[in-house]
Amino acid sequence: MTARRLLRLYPRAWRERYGDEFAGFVGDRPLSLQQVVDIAGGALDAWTSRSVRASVRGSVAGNSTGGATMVQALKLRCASRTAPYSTKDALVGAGVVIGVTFVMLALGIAANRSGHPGLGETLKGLAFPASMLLSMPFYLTKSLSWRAQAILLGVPMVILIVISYVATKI
Amino acid sequence: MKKNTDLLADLGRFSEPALLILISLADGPKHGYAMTQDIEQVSGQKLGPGTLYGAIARLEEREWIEPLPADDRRRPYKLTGAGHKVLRARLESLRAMAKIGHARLAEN
Repeated sequence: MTARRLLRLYPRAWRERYGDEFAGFVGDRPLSLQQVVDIAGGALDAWTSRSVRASVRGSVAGNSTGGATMVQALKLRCASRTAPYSTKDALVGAGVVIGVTFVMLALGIAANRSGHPGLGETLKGLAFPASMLLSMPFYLTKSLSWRAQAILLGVPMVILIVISYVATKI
Repeated sequence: MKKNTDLLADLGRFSEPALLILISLADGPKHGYAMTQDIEQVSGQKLGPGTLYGAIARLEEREWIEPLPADDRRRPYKLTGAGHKVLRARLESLRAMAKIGHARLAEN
């Protein structure tokens, strides 16, 4: 496994900021298992750490100022720290939370009444957390790649479904 | 307001790599590879690339280190004034802690 391939695990903004020096640091030599694990852990950290994302955004804004004044640089830097979604996106996300919650509760009640109490309880239990997860692509994770979204939403969704299903069997 | 000695601890699992990077940069700017070589010589620890750049990003975000113009694919970093203060405070705290530890060992 080469460092160049592993670098693809990192967010694009991170690669733009640190990619060159990171590749220069690692070089073209084959990596040990320990290094592969360390780089994969670093990629996960780059996706999830607020501190690292802020550093990358700050650096990109700082690099793009050229001969700008200090105030302009500060404005750019602050502007780069705004949420990656608009008010409209947030309202759509809220609508999805409310809509999905009601639909799943209705389906759960219907399943209970038609003689499927296990499925009914699972749907009712999942209603709110699943709606939160399903709303994320509309605002919170909107700026991420489809692959990152699939991991961020898919994994918790599978865990939630398994937990809800097991809970109804206990 | 937090004490300078507590600030490094806020970096969680990156606090030790960050301290080692600050120590490495205390005698002048270095790029990533030079830092890891120096750190290995000083502490015996070999920082992996993911850990090194995770710590660098955090130190840069707090403005304790700053990047200098890149030379080919190597970008050196230097300690800032704030980084200098944080490092000094942390080393003082470690010195005090070591003194207490040695004194307690001597008692037994």
